[in-house]
Amino acid sequence: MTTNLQSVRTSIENAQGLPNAHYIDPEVFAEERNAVLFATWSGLAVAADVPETGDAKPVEFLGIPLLLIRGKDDVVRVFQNTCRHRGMILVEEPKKIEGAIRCPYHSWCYNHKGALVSTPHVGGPGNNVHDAIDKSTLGLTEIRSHIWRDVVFINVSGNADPFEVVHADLLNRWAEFEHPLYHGGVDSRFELAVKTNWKLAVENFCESYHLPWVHPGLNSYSRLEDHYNIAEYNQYSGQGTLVYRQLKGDTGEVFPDFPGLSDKWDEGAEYITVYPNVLLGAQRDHAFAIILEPQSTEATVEHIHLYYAQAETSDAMRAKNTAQWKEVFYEDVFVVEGMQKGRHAPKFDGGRFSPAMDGPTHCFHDWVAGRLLAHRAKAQAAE
Amino acid sequence: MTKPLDEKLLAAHARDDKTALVLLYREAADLAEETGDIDAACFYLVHAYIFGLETAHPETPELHARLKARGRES
Repeated sequence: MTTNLQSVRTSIENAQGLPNAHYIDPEVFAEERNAVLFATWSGLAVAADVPETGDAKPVEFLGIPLLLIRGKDDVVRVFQNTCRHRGMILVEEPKKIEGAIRCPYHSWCYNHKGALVSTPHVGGPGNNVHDAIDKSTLGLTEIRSHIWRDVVFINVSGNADPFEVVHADLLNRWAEFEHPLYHGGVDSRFELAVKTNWKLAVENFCESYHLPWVHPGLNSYSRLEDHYNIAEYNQYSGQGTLVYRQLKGDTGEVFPDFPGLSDKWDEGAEYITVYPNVLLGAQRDHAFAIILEPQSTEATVEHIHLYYAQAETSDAMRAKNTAQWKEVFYEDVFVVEGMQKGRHAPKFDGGRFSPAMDGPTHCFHDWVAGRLLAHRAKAQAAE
Repeated sequence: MTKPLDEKLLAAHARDDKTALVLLYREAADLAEETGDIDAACFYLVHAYIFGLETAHPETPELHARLKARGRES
């Protein structure tokens, strides 16, 4: 199926949203997988998933079995979790790799950097060498990765521009926040499984229009007019607030700030989607990252992680903060699931945008459509 | 391989004790080498070496050297 995207790629005053098929059709989901999720820098996991050297964690991304591993050199890498011999899955459960990654089938062994180090009995019993097997060409297949704000981004296609180039403006926008982030630990991560296409989670995150209706608890201190749109076409979008209020403990204590921030961030905070699937929050005293895992056309898992400016923070304060964010993110579930259901109405036309309020959403639709059109043009040229 | 060693190997496999497997397979290799059965010795050395690689066992370099000396590892 080839959808019509011209009505998306016009001015916001005249544009329609992405057609229904982009939310409910598995064929379009597969097209977006290649054109949008594999061809760009997508969020896969967080480096905190493998905190110590030798830690390895199997993860799937759109059906691809991957292995996240922190090597002895403290570098986090992503490999296909597949032996170069018979294609066996190498690591089934998170584990510590003390020495080599040994395939459980014929015991071919790889080091932490993915190099093939031994091929037992490959030349016959008791002989680990054979002229036809050149170990230097049979290392694990590495997937291009880049870590920013602890998020492990991957480029499956391998031919996107470097992350720092693609996101140069965003990196510059948040340059003040370029300090170490400390994951809050087990009490600062949670997951939400939602019955929605991954894009609807992006769309809801990007806009502040819904805040007074869906998050009425914010109204007392964070009114709609205290927010601003962030819509950098072809790059990223989100929202900002001018009235960020720090969480306070029972005795008025707050989390320590990230160092060296300008006054702008005293009461300012921003919430931006790093297209395609990473939702970030930057605030003076803590940050969060939400990695959207598109499981299928109509199922997404949100992996939520909270970060702080220092390694040691109060357990009670972290628990309170996690509870606060959980409440906010839970409040959004009925919205993203409701919009998903709504897209099964065959005469829904993608919807209209408020030029005043929906800029960040249109910016995202425009980006998705642009990626798809470029992908289609490339495919057509190759025919 | 002696019956007691075979039983110890099976037990180590059963409890997935890889450190023990390194030493037991090396012992099996030593026994085979003493009888002049180099192929059998290398077979066991391969197993000792692989479990050594997996566990970063301190004897791994020596096991590697023995296999390499026989032209069985690069």
